[in-house]
Amino acid sequence: VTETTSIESTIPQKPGGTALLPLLATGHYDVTFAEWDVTLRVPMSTALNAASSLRACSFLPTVKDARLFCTAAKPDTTTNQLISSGAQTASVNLSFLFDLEAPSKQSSATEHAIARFKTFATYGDDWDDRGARAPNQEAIDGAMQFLSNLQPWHPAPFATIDREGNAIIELNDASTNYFSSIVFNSATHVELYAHRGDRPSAFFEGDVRSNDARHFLSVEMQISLP
Amino acid sequence: MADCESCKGAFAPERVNDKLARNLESFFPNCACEQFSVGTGSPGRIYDDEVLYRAFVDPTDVDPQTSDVSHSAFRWAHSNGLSVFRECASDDDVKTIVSELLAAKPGKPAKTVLALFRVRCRQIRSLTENRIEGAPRMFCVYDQTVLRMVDMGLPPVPTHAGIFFRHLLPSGVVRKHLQKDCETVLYKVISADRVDVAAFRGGLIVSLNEQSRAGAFVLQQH
Repeated sequence: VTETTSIESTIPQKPGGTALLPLLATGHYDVTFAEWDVTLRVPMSTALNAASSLRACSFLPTVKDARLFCTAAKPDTTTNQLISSGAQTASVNLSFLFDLEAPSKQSSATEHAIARFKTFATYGDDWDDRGARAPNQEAIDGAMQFLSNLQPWHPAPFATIDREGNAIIELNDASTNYFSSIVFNSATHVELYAHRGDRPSAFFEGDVRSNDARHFLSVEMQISLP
Repeated sequence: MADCESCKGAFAPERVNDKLARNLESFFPNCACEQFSVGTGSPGRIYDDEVLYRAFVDPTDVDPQTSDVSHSAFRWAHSNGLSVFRECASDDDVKTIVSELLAAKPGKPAKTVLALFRVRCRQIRSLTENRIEGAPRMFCVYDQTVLRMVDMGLPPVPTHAGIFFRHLLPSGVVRKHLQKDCETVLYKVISADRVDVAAFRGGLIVSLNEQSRAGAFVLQQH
């Protein structure tokens, strides 16, 4: 079930500027411009019980039982033009799509990804008949555990392994031209990759528990680790 | 300096390994070998208008339940080449190429073609690395032929081809990052045109899938 609504507010100034967006009486939203894409941060304090601090990007907003699940929006073309021409303020329409079934769909997709990892965990050396290494069990365990961090606004995860024994989670949303992946080389060593629209892609390699990894996951993938 | 013989030699079986794509760029940059036909028995070099097909058989690459395809399924392009076959392939060629993909060692589960995609060569060759001045091409496409896995004594299938990533390293980009870019770009271009496996060439692949399930493509142990 989907429905659409929109909001309108005065927003700043120039790329990189921020403003409060009085979207709903129970919360507020920080709006940031970067390369003409809007980023929204939903504070934990909101009475809407948003799961965490969220950034809008390419993900669709979902609402169920009065809980707000993420948001995604871009300013319309008119706004971009106003800002780029140096206007001090501009009115922007942000469109939101509410998918009432998103939480249950995500849960099902995550369970399916876990089932695939469990199947791959049974593979031995040469599982592809072309000399691939057996999957690293710690990497698969790390990936399965990581899946619990996904939220209803995330694309359905695709679980796979590669010939080097790494476990991989891919998040692909073709409708918004968004893709990211988490490659687990071990339980904690990861390669993070994100690509969104026409922006340059981003990459990180290191310990998933590090501050840099957490920052990457938060900014590029809207994933907050506990 | 690229010439026909040295280009053919670059694809010799003993040179096919996980670094083939990088080696091609090192020794024959700018897709220099595309001006020659490099495959054994090949009908000729590949022209931009040609249509190429890529089949996937591994459940790690394509989810049999959802039919979703993984980005990492295109990883071969940055290692030893992403195998494709050409539209001009005869049905016998397609049978051979697909049966090689379906070949499994004794005791392993039977494989089936889970997805088939079509792409025009020009779409691959027109992809550019915009982070480098002059926006050079990202991929080369060669009429590369490869040794058979099943009937090793028979000549290669002449209508096989390979897509190779050029491993151009823009400033500030590490190789793993670049390889992910390669997979992402290829995924977008190739997965955009999924072919109905059941309808392809009158059910040719469906028939091969059935034969595979019946145990027809079992690799001999050497």
